[in-house]
Amino acid sequence: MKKILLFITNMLCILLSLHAQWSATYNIKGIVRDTVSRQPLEGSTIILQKSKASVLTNAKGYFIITLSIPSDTLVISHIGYQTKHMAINRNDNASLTIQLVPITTHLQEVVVSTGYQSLPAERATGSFTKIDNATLNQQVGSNVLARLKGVASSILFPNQNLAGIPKLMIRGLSTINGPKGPLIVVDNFPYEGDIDNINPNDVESITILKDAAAASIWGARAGNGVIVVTTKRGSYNKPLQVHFNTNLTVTGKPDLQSLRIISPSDYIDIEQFLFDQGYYDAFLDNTYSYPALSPVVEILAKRRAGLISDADVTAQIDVYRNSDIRDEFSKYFFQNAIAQQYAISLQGGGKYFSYFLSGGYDKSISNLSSQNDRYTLRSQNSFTPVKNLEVKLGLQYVQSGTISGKPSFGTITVGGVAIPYLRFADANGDPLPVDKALRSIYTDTVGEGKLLNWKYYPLTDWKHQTGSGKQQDFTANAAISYNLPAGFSLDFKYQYERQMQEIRSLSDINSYNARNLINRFTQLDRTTGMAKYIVPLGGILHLSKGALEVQNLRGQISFDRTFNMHRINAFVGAETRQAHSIGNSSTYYGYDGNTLTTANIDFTNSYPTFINGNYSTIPGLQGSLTDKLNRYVSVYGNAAYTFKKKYIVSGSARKDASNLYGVTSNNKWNLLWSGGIGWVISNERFYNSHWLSYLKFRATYGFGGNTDPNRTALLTFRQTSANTGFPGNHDISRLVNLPNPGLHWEKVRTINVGVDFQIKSQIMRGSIEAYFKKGMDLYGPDPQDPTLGLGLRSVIIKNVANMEGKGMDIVLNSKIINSKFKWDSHLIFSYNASKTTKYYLDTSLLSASLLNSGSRLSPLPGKPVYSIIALKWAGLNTDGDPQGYFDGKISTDYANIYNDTRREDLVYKPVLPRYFGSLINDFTYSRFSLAVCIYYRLGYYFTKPALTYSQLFSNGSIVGTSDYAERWQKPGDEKTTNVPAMLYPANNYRDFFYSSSEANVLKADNVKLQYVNLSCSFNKADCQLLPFKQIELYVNASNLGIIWKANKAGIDPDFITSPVTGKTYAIGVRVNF
Amino acid sequence: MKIQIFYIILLLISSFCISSCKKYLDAKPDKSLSTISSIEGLQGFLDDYRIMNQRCTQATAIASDNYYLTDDLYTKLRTEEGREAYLWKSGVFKYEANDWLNEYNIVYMANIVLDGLKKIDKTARNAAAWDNCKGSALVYRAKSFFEIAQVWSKAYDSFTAAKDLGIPLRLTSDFNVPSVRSSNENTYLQIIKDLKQAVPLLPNSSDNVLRPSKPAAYGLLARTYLAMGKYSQAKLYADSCLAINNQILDFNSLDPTSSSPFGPILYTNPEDIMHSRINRGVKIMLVYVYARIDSLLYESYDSNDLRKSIYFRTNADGSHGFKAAYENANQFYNGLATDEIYLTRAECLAREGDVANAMKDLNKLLINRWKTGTFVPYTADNSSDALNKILLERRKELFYRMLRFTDIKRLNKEGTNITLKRFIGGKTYILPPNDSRYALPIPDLVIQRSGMQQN
Repeated sequence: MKKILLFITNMLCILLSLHAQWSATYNIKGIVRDTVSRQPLEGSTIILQKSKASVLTNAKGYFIITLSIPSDTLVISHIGYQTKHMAINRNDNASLTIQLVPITTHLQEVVVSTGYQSLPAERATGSFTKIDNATLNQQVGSNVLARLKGVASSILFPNQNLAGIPKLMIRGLSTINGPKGPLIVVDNFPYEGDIDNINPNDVESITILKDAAAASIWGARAGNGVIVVTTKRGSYNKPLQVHFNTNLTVTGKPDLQSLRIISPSDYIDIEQFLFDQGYYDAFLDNTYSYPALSPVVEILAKRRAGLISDADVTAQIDVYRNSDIRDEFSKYFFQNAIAQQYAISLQGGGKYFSYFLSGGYDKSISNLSSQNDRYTLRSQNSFTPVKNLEVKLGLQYVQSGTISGKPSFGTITVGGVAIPYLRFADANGDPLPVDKALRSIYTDTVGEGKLLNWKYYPLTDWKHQTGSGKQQDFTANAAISYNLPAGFSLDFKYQYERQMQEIRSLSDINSYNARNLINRFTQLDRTTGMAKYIVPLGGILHLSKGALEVQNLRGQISFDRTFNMHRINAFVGAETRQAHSIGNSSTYYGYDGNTLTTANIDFTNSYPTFINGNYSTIPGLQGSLTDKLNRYVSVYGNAAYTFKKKYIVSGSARKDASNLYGVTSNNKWNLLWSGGIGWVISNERFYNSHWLSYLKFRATYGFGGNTDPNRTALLTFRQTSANTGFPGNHDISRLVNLPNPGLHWEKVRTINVGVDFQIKSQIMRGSIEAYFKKGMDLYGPDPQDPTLGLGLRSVIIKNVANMEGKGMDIVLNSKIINSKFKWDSHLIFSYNASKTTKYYLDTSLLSASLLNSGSRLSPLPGKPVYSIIALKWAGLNTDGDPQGYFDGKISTDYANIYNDTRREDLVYKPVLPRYFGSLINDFTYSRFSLAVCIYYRLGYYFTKPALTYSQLFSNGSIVGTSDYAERWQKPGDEKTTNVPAMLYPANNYRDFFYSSSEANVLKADNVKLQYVNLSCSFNKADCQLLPFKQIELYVNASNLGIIWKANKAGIDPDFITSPVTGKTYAIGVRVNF
Repeated sequence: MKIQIFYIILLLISSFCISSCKKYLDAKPDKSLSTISSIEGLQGFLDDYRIMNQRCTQATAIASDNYYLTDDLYTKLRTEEGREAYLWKSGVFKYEANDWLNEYNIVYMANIVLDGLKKIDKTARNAAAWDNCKGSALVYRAKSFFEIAQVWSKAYDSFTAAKDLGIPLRLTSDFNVPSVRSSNENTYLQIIKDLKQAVPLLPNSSDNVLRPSKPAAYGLLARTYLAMGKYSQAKLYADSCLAINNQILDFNSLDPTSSSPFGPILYTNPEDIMHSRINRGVKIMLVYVYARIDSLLYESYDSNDLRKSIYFRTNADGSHGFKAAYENANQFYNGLATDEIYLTRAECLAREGDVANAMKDLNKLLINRWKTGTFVPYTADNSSDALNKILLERRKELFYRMLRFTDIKRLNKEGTNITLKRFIGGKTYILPPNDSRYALPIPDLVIQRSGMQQN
């Protein structure tokens, strides 16, 4: 059709040009090209403004147009290019080369989704970050949110084991004691389920709502930011497209040698020393509970008893000196982790319908042989049965399963003590026992063969103690939208989600756990040799089930209309949501998997225990039931007005109510609002900068909320069965929540100012934003007069705390080279700092209770919400003793330093990175492209687990004990080391002081290579033999390790107490049919 | 037209929403949680005996004269506050407000119940349970108020009581109401008012001895009036109490060699009217490991007196420590038992000059304390002789029952001149009669946060 038209126009041109030969007309010829690629542009429209003549360019970009008047203006336009005006007259050169500038201002094409509406970023005043499909695909993990790492500004993955800190945070903290994770929205509704149920291959894009104007539409749950996941769907009038993606990921074994634990040889030396000091005598003499002792201590005890020769002792001990438990773990338990991913999707549509269908299968085996699999099925269909009406239906089903694997490092101990040398198998590879709780000399003989084997075999026990989980998630949604006259439209949406979870853990009869429990309660008749089992013979099975059912309903009226220079876009709506979760759990004893039989057990009476005859009740988990229901009702509205495409004003408000206990209905409603302005300066007449082709300023102000369903305003209690040991057996009531009528939701005020810009021809575009957050009326403890009688809770939680956060996000995207070889660079920089401004802290608290290695919350006014709080360090003295300060003087009075150091003399360091971001470089040449992401986090600290002698003696080779090799040993060492001299018996306060001193607080700043992705694609155009439209092969590497770190101790701050994980490599292929 | 239909639909939806919204949002968020709506729920607070019956104050025992510490034991005490308490120093409970906190916790629970009952209608069906709940809460509150007053306010003196500082009387569970100290007069008036109000609400015999009953309310009235020195009323209520329960336990039925002679009859002791014990908290100085029993007091028990081997144990070094009385070993009973009421009535009778009846009550009790067949009944020449004998037996019978401090305060008001002495580190510490320290200092934290007046 197009060709025919073109042919006709060309013919007309030729005719006209022939005509010009003999009339007073003049032909203008020319070619239209793209300024950048120099490619000719077919189908450009050429219009003469005065004479109204028009033509289209042909396939080679040529045109001829006839000028009938002496001078005119040529208007050259093409979709996706800036329209060009050119004055022309007959005397001009008759052959023109016209270059059109592409409007590739990415900025203007970006459509962000808030979950309530989709709007072009250009018309937005709020702060949004959009991560498109291509960027998401640069990483290959099966968790969609994990793919945001390194690619989204303002999102921090703290990667630290901090109490209450979520895996990812948007723009830092907004609350102290409230929930800290962002709200996750999938398509239109908050997602309550497990985020692992979302197949990343089904995700089209992710929008992050950062400031109040962007997020406040989500009201009381938006205080920590919102992440909107938009899934793929079909489009109308598109032929069938089939995509297939598969990849194989291999992750190496973790580096156990990176664990900072004492060497076997050093530890054995300490054991020998302690043995000589009589440290183990009390354990060796204990015939009451026969506590397990390490192999070396047992050997030494045998020598003392004269049972083995000195030569044998040395030989046996030397075997252990060379059996590093890390090597045993690496050899017998760890393996490469393997993950496979398969995903296929079909999409397309006709005039009245569109469809999207996808299926995915993921399977993985972890480093410790635990298994995971996931099946996903999804469909999204749209219909327009009559004009102006659209119906959308979606269905999703996910099924996943997990099976537990081998024991993780650190879980195999001897009597609770970590031993750096242990052997799991003999020379033939047969399992060796490890004394887990009881000494071998006891378990070898005690039962006279009448008890179950009482040994623990790490090599095989995991096969008998297993856990598995199953999860099913079903989601169905329907949406109807109807366009009314005059720019109005009406939307109704409904979603139902049901997630079911089943966890099963079994200790079968061959597991140590079951054998141990049975033996402990066995009653053995020594004369007849008959055993009576109080805990029935068989396995122990624990089952728990949970179901979550979420329903959402939303009705919305929208208005979108342009009147001349005015554009109004507004909507109001109401929604309700209900989340209902139920659960139950139960435990079965004497379980036999073959016959599915179980036995009854008596939990109430005491029975004599085998080892010492003490009476005890049978320990165990009993059944429990849960039933929780949360309901929310909300009304909301949003409006934006744009004038002359230059000035934008927007506002948004929302009121939420919920069934939180005890708030009277009036107080349940909580209003949160925001407003914003935008100004596209580059659209102003006076604006004449050529190099800065786009410039927009925007500012917003508003409130988000934060709510914790566990905090209630009415007195609530739990009725439970009577305390044991009392007569009457009446149910009792236990206070759960004190009445707190003034309690309301937390408020977070955010001010955001930002500039979006683009430099000519997209050499660089980006945005700079600054924000100020203030968390007000945050949950915090309010001290109470003990006379009120609130029991041990002499504080109650009220809306009494405040905090402040501030920060900056800078995103710069540059096209450094843009020719056949392309080099795009994306720089992301985020700054965030938060501090507590008001918080009650008991003034009588000793410094000892403030000291904090950074793993818990420490809200002290004026300090970061998460801080390391440490004692000042004055180095070692010439005796190898650590020194601190007390009353301004160097001191070794450890008890006083530890307990009574004044607050102002403590050292405070931030735990969360203050500066973070990434640099992504994309290189493309021909069919090849390479992406390299470097991720950095700066301006924060961590506490290195320190060597303390009291713990070394009692807990063994825990993380930090490797410092033993660097301890002070002789005068002069204090110049080169901070590790105190060994002291026996250990001085607890000396240890407390050292481990909580500044000496172990290190800079955590680091730069990491987050991922490298190399891909290569072929089109059918390249190779006609190809049976597909396009095929792309890719190789991806991640967890590549640290490029630079600030600390000299060689510690990766992401792996302070755990081993550094292995590198991950993936290979995959994407095919479009 | 289309638009009109749309608006009608919208109107319908919104009106439906508004009417059903309140109900929708009143759904319970967690089924395992309850709010106040039933008598059973309220009674459940009172049946949490670990709070209501096992958190009573120990300060009176620590400060009184039944025991002593050697220098060595004194320095071995785990906490500084224990050491300070032993010497009646002002720093008592500086860091922790355990006793104050625990007793007021009982008061708070009772107030939750009393406030909660206002929201529940009394009907024919629930009347008995409703009354029992209210009566019980009043008894618990009165008992705690009494115990708090013994520690932190002066002995009752009818001439100065209206001016003397009493204790904060918290009568509501609303914690926005500030805590203000009342007068000693009002303190005792409130205790008596609560107990008198409870009497008609309670049954003669409760479901178990941990729950309050009518004789418990009478008995506590007798105890309160005795502490106030109002002997005729004390006698009156002792009579009422014994009219319902006059049983006495024969100590010959106990095993004196047992390490816990009262263990087998912990909650079935016939003398027990209302069972409660103190919270030992961190100040465990009263247990035999620390506290040594005054040897004169120990020797004053007759060799045929079973209490000598049931109440006490002999330590390895020959000294004596406390074993058990009315509770398990190493626990300290502060409930209400008939022996106390007999002794109260005997004392009141003696003061009235009814020597015969006074000695009858005393002998009725003591014959059950001696080995069978060995007891020779006590006689008295006159009422003051009778009073002295009864008061000595009161001290010996109610050993470590948390009543001694009250008795010292009361008797010193009458001029008995009991002076408490401690010998530590070569120094003698003396608490003279009627010293201001008989009202112990209120925990600093309480003063800081409430702004109430210190003793």
